[in-house]
Amino acid sequence: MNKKGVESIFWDSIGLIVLILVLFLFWITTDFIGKMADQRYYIGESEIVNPGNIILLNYLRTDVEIDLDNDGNLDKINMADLISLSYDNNNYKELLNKETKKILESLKPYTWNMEIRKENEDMILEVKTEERIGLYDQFNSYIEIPTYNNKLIKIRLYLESQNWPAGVITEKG
Amino acid sequence: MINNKGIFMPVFVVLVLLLLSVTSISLYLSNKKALDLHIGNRATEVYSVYQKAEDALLYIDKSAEYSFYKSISQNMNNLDTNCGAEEGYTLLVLGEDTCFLDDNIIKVKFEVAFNKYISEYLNLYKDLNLKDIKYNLDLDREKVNGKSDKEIVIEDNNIKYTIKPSFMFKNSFDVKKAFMDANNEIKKVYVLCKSDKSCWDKNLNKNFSLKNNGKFFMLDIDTGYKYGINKEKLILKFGLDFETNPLFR
Repeated sequence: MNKKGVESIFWDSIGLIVLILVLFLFWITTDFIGKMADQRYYIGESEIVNPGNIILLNYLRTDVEIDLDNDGNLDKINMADLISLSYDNNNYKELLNKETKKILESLKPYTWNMEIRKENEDMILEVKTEERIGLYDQFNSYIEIPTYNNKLIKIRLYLESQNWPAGVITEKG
Repeated sequence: MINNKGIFMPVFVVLVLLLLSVTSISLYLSNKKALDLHIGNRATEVYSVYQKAEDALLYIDKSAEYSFYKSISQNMNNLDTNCGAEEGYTLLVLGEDTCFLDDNIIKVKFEVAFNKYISEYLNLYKDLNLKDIKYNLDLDREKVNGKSDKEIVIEDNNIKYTIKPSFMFKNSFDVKKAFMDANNEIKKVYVLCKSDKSCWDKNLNKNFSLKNNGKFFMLDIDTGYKYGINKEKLILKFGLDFETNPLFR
């Protein structure tokens, strides 16, 4: 009996099984790596630099012209000063409203809104650039500034959007 | 006889491959299909600390401006010279003593008043501890510079950020010059006229208004400048009390 032929069949079978296993492993590995590449990159609200902070600082430093002493000449102050003046004097609120609206409207299509409150939460001014329901507040920014008469003013800037504020912003697949 | 020496290698390979397959399959079938990466976490934490500092610096900037305006209000009629003040007028002459101003006196008096007012503002701030910050004031023409030796340390999420709360803003006029111009004019007429009221009336500039109560001369000087967010007129008030006997003052 030729034993070499039997041995050959035996070892060829093992070799074939090994080959199949290698191919199977290759398939599994490539598919697994593919899944890894499909991983989800979470960028929640807390992980995005809030653009509202810079907008708010720039808003407060924006110059505005107004005749403060009724001498016929326009004086230059900034929005922080105008808010300070509006704290005790309602005469400045109209200009504050107009200038705030102008600045926020210039940021459209993004619908930024603002609330300016006294320390006791009394509203000084509220400006909304979008009057729709079903919107979510996001990118809340808060800042406190002093008034000339040693009071505090709280300002809140926020974006209204149709998107739910937190969660997965992008998925890479 | 069969040579069994060669059988070890294929068996070893098969076992390794089986082990790898089982691991891969178990990973593949597990619920955790991939790692969820929260990107930008650390960067936003760093940014939020920086933002906190920026917010505080804006608060300090506004507080500094308002404190400076309040210092002007206080000093325009009570600069607190060594001769003191009387009826809302800073005394430049008291009996035979003179207390005329110089650059350093103005700087020191403004610095004292400024630090008093700004501490009232800084005590109101809640997000950071801004209390006990004292400023060295430098009045360089229209520019007002404030420097502090104290540092503000912000610590959040193991991030430490240190800022020096200095500030600089531009006033609409040179405060030191406004005070010194008035002081120099009064000094010039004082040397010429002493307590002779008619001589003062003849020699004073038009923007100086003089009234007297006996030997107490009161000068209101309309500098033509306006200051503060309410654009108030800068009217300096200086007094000269020529009464040498303290009992009659």
